[in-house]
Amino acid sequence: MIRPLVARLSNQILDEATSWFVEFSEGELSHLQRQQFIAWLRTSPEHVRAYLQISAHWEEARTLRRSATDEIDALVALARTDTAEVISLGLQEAPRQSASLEGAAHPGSRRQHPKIKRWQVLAASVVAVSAGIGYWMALERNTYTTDTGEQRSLTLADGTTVELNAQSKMRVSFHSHERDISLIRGQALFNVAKDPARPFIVQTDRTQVRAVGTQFDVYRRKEETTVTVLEGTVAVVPTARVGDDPGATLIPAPALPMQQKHVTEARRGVQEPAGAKSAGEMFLSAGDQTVVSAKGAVAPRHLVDTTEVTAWSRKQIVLRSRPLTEVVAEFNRYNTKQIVIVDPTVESIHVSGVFSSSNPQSLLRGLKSLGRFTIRETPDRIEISAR
Amino acid sequence: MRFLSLEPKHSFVTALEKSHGHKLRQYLAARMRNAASDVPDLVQEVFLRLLRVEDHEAIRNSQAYLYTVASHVLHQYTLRRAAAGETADLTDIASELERADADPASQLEVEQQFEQIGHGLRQESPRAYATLILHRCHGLSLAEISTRLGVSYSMTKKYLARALKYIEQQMENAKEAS
Repeated sequence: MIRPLVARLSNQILDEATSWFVEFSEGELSHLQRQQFIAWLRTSPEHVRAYLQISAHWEEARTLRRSATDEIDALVALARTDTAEVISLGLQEAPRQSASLEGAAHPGSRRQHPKIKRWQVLAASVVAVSAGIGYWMALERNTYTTDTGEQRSLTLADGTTVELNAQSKMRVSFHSHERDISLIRGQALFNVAKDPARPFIVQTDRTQVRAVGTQFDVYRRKEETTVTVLEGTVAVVPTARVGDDPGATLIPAPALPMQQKHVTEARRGVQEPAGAKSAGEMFLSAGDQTVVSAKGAVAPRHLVDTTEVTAWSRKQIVLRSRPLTEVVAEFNRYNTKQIVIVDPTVESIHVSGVFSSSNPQSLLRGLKSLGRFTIRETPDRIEISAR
Repeated sequence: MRFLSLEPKHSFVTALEKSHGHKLRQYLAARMRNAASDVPDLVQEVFLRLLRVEDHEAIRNSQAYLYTVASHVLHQYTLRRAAAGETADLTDIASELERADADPASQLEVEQQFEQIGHGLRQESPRAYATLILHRCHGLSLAEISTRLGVSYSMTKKYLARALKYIEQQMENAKEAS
């Protein structure tokens, strides 16, 4: 392939970029909104690309004049026959704003009526925002999601960069004393900007990972969370006692007394790794990996090849003698055309190799070459059975 | 501000800055259409520059600011290419633009692609389609469209955003298929 691999823009990015574009085409934005726009652009090169692309295609959309021959009245009539009142705009949970401007308004939140003077609207929206709009909104802000086959690169307000893998969801909330990340599902690779005064804390259902300035990968699955350190040191703390409901830890950090305790310890712990370790706390340094079970049990750390662990961020899947069920599950994170094992006898066959995550054909070719499988492609899925 | 203090030596660059949107958009559209392999690099460079500047510099007119940064990146990129001996002249960027504008073959290709997209959107969301055509082709303001369609202004903005998103999705599909 000569063409460079440019990832498809995600639903969320397109929603954000198009609503910004519409706001700008509609005229003057508030100081706050312009600030948010720049912050949004600075969050990811993908945002810049999306916006420039939309601009470019907007220019070309002029050519629709030739083919769209309907007169104004016909178009109005056409629109009026469309009864779908609510249009689908993809994921509605999209936060549409940058982590660096918490409490600021989303471009679309300026519910402007054409007859109302702009300053009134702005004043109203500022009031609405400072009133908090609601707990739900506060929670959904600064949430980043990816679908099957999507990956996102983000730059957070502190300069930390995050690669968010497919089928993942993450919430960012920065405070003056700590930087909190909730990894709600999936996998993320963090390159944490140094800030000794504000520990960087990644929370999954049963685990807390604290760092000051380092690079590490967290992969949250249903049954366990895997933490791998590429650079520096992090502390891994099981948080099983927070409550039996795994959802409990999704409440923002300050609401949890347990967490605050950990944070205090974190400041001491991370700066003096040899010092007071709390029970169940484990320090990992470069190359170390550990797995925390759903019950909060932390497995002994072991050394891994970190280039394999982060292969996903280079659109690769590295498999080292993994059962086919696991291989298929891994592949299905990246491709909408799902692979299905239709024959249980092949489930436990182990497979090794390096494959392109965005191209299932590379895996299928590899599997075919083993000579043990029959692979059948239907229009909507790929079936694997014994030969 | 570093980018704006650059002495534009070529009138084309000045023109780009003046018209910020229009010409730059045309240029970008042409590069993307030709699947130019350097587009991701250009985007990355624009992004890095945006990271470097202070907020207060950027926010006076943030969209035009983005276009200004982007056009400077393009300008410097052309200089680099010229230095590397790949192209002879600064005017290449201008002529490339002219070509994109004037080339009847690619013009036709663009038209056909948009015709298809238009048909698809008309099926998928007649309201989004009508909003796009009324706004882009008939020049009606969104406020006027909202009155005519009997929907709120904010809903009209959503229809337009929906149409723009549809265009992007179709373009990405076309890119993947090629």
